[in-house]
Amino acid sequence: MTNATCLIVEDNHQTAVFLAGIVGRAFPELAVRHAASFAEAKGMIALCRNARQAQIELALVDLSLPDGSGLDVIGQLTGASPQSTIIVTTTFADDDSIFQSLTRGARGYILKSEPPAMIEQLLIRIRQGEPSLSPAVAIRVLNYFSRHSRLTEDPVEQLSARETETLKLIAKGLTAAEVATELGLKPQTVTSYIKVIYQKLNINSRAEAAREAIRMGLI
Amino acid sequence: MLPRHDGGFGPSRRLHVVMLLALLLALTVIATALTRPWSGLEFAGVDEQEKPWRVTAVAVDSPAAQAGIAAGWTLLSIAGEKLEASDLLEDPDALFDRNLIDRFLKRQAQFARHLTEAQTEFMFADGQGGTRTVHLDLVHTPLRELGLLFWVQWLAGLGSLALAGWVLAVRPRDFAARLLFISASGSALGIWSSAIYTTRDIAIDGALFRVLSIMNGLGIVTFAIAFAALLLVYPRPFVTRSAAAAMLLLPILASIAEAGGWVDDVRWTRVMLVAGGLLIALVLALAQWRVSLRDPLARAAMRWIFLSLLASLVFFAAVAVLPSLHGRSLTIPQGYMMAFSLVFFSGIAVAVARYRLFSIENWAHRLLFYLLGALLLFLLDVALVNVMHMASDLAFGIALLVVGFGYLPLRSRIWRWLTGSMHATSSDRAFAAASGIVLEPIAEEREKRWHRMLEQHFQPLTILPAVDAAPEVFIGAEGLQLVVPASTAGAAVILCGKAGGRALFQTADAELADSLIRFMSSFGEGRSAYVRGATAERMRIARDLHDDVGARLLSAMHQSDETVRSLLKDTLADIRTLSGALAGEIVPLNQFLAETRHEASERLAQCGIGLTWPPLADDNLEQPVDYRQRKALASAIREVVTNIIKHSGADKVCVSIEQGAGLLTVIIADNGRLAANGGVGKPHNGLRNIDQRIRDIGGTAHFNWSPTGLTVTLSVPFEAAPTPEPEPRSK
Repeated sequence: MTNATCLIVEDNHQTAVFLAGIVGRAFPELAVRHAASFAEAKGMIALCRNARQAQIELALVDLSLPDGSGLDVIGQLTGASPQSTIIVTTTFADDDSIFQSLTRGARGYILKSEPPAMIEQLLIRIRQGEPSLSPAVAIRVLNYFSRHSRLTEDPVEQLSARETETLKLIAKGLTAAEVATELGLKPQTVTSYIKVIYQKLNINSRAEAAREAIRMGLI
Repeated sequence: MLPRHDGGFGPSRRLHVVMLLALLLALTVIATALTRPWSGLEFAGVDEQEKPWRVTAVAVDSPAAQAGIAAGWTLLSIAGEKLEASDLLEDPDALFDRNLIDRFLKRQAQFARHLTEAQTEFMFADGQGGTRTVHLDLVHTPLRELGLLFWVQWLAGLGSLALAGWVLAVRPRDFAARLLFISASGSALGIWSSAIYTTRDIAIDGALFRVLSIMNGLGIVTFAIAFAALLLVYPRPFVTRSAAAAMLLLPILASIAEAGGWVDDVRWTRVMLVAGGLLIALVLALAQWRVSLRDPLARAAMRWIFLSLLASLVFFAAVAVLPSLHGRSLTIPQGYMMAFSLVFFSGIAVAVARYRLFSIENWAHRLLFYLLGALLLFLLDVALVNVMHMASDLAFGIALLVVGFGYLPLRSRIWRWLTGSMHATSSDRAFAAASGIVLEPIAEEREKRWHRMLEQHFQPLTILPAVDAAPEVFIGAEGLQLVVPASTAGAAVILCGKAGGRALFQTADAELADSLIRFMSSFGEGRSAYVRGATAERMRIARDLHDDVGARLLSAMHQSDETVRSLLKDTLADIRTLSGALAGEIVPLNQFLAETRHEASERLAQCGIGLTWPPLADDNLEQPVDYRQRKALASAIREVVTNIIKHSGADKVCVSIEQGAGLLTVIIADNGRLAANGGVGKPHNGLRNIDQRIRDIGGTAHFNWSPTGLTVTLSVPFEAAPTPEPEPRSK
C-alpha cells in the first residue's frame, strides 16, 4: 500500500514548521516529510522511488538551500516522480528564479510571507491546477514564447491567441478574474488557460533542451 | 605632392646609383691630385711678404729631404727661372686681371714642365749669405701626402653632392630637387677643382690648371645662380620653370667667355655673379617667407632654408672673420671654408626633400637656437672691439656673458614664433579635460567633449571622420593632418590644418594625442575596474540583505501575531525593492505599475472590494523608474489600499494613472461611506505617513474627503531621462 507524502524542502526550521502546519490543514491525507538541505532532499527522493511505498504527491521547494539550488531539487523530482505537484516556496517574488523553476516543471509558487489562510488557499488551487501568475513572471513567459515560437511549428509548443492575450493582461497587472471580465470569459476558462500556459512552458523548455542536446551531439 | 614615376627604379636603387656616380667623380679627383709633381717642400706663402718662398718644412722621405734641403732656406729659382711671390697664390682668381692670370698660368705651365724633367735644378739661399744648388727628381704626389686641406675640400664636395643626390633620388621628377642638385653639383665642381690646384706642391700642368680654374668659376657661379633659381620656384613658383632654367645659361656663358679670353676682369664673371646670385637668393627667400604665411608646409621648408643660410653665415663668421678680428692674420686657407657648403646643403636638402618637415620642432629648432646664440656672440664681439675699442679678449668675455644671460629669456619668445603656436594651451588642461571626458557616461556627449578638447588644443581648420584609420596616432600629409584613432572617447578622426592652417602638426602633437588616448584608456579601465568592484560589493550586500535578513524576518513573521505580521510583510516588500535597487535592477514604468496593480487587485479582491484600474496602453512606458520613487509610490499605494480595507468601508475603488508635464499622478478614489467622518477629524496616522513619503521625493499628496468617498491624489516628479550606458556588471 502506498503512502502519499508531501515533501517540504526548507532550510529554515520555523518556516518548515509553519508550512507543515498549513499542509496539514489543507491536505490531511498527506504524510509530511521535511528535508533541510539539497542532500537530504536528494536522499529522500531516492528513498521514496526505491521503496515505492511513499509516493511524493506534493513538494514544497525552497529555492535557496545551504548546499545547492532548489532548481536542482525540482529537476530530481520531475525525473523521479513526474506525477508530483511541485510548488516553489519563496520569500520574495524573485521573478527570474520563479520563471526558471516553472520551465523545470514547477506547477506554481507561493510567497511565504503571505498570511497562512491565503497560502492554504493557493496550495489547494495549485494542486487543482489553478495556479496564479504574477505580472513580472507573465512578462518573462511572453518573452520566452515570442523568442522560441520561431524555432518550432508544433502547436503544442506554441501559445494560442487567447492564451497570449491572457498573458498580456496579466502582465499589465490584472488578476485572473479581471482577465475573465476583460475578455468576456468565465473565470474557470482563464484559469485553464493559465494551466495550459504552465504546461506548454514546461513542454517547450523540455523540447528546447532536447533540441539543444541534439544540436550539441549529446543524444 | 607630385606623382612619382619610378620607371622601374625605386628610390633606394636611384640613391645607390647617384651615390656611386658621386663616389666615382670623387675618386677621379683623387686620381688627378695624385698626378701632380711633388717635392715635399712647404713654403711660408704669400702672406709673408719678405720671403714667401722660405722653406718652412720638409716632408719626411720626400725628394727634398733626400737631397738635404733644410727648413729656413729660401727657394730662388727653378731651372734658372726666378720665382715670384705671385707664383705661390692659391687661386689665380685673386689676380682678377685677365693678363695677370694668363701670365700666372703660363709661369705655372713653365715650372710644371721643368718639374717633370729629371735632375731639375733648384737654387736656394741658405740664410747665411750663401746660395745652394740642388738637383731634384720629383715624384707624383703620394696618397698620404694629399694633406688635410685637400681632404676637407674633397669631403665637402662629396657631401654636398651626396645630399643633393639623396633629394634627387627621393623626388626625381621634382623641378626644385633638380635645381638643388645642379646647385650642389656646381658647388662640388668648384670645391673639387680648387682642391686640386690650391694644394699643389709648387706648380701643376698649365693646361690642367686652366681647365680647373674655369671649372672652379663655372662651379661657384652655378652654385649661386641655381640656388637663386631654386628660390624662384620653391616653395612657391614665382616664375615659370623655363624662366628659372634659363638662368642656368648664365654660368655657362660666363665660363665660355672666360675660356675664350673675352673677359678682362674675372670679378665680372665670378664675384659679381656669385654675390649677385646670393643677394637675389636672399631677397627671394624673404619673399617666399612672406607668401608662405598661410601655407604651413612652405613655411616649414622656408624655416629650413633660413636655418641653412644662418648656419652658413655663422660658420663663415667663425672661420673667416673672428680670427682676423682678434689680431690673428687670416691664415686659414680658403679651402677650409668650403666646408660651409656641407652645412648649407644639409638644411636646403631637408627643405626640398620635404623630409619629415613636421619634426622640425624636435631638434632643428634647438640647432637654430645655438646658431642664433653664436651669431649674437659674434656680432656683440665685433661691436665691442670696433665701436668701443675694447681689448679683444675682454670684449669676447663680456660678449659671452651678455649672450649667456641675455639670450636665454629671448629663446622662449623665438620658440613660440618658430613653432607657430600663438595660443599654446597647456597640455595640463588637455589632461584635465580628458579625465572629465572619461567620466562622461553618455557616449555621444563624450565624443562631443573629446572633439571640443581637440579643437581647443590644436585649433584645426576642420575635424573629419577617419575611415579605416590605423590604431595609432600619426601625422599625415606631411604635417597638414593629424590622424587620431578610435578610443574610449569616440571614433577615429582626422584633424586638418593645425592652428587654423598656419602651422604643421609636430611630432610633439602626435605624442600628446597618443598620451591623451592612452591616459583615457587606462583611466577608463581603472575607473570601470573600480565600478566593477563596487558593483560586486553592492551585489553581495543585496544578496545578504535578500537572503539572510529576508529569511530572519520571515521566521520572525511565522511566530508573531497579525499586526506585527503585516508590518513585517511590508518590511519584506521594502527589502525586496531595496535589494533589487542595490543589484542595479532597472524597473520600467509599465512593470512597476503592473506589479502595483496586481498587488492592490489581489488584496482588494480578498476583501470583496471591486477595483477599476484600466491598464495603460503599451507605448511610452519603458523609461525606468527611480528606486526612491518606486519605493515611495509603492508604499504609499499599499498604505492607501490598507486604509481602504481597514477604515473606509468602501466596496469599490477606482484608480487612474496620468503621466505628463514631468509628473506621474496616481488618483485613488473609493466610495467609502465612512470617509465623511474620517475627513472631519485629523487624518489617520497612515495617511500622514503617505504625505511624508511622497513629499520626501519632491511630490505632493492630496486627500479629498467628500460624502461620496475619499480621493487620494499622489503626484511625483517623473522625467523621461536619457538612458545612460549600463555599467559593467559582474554576475
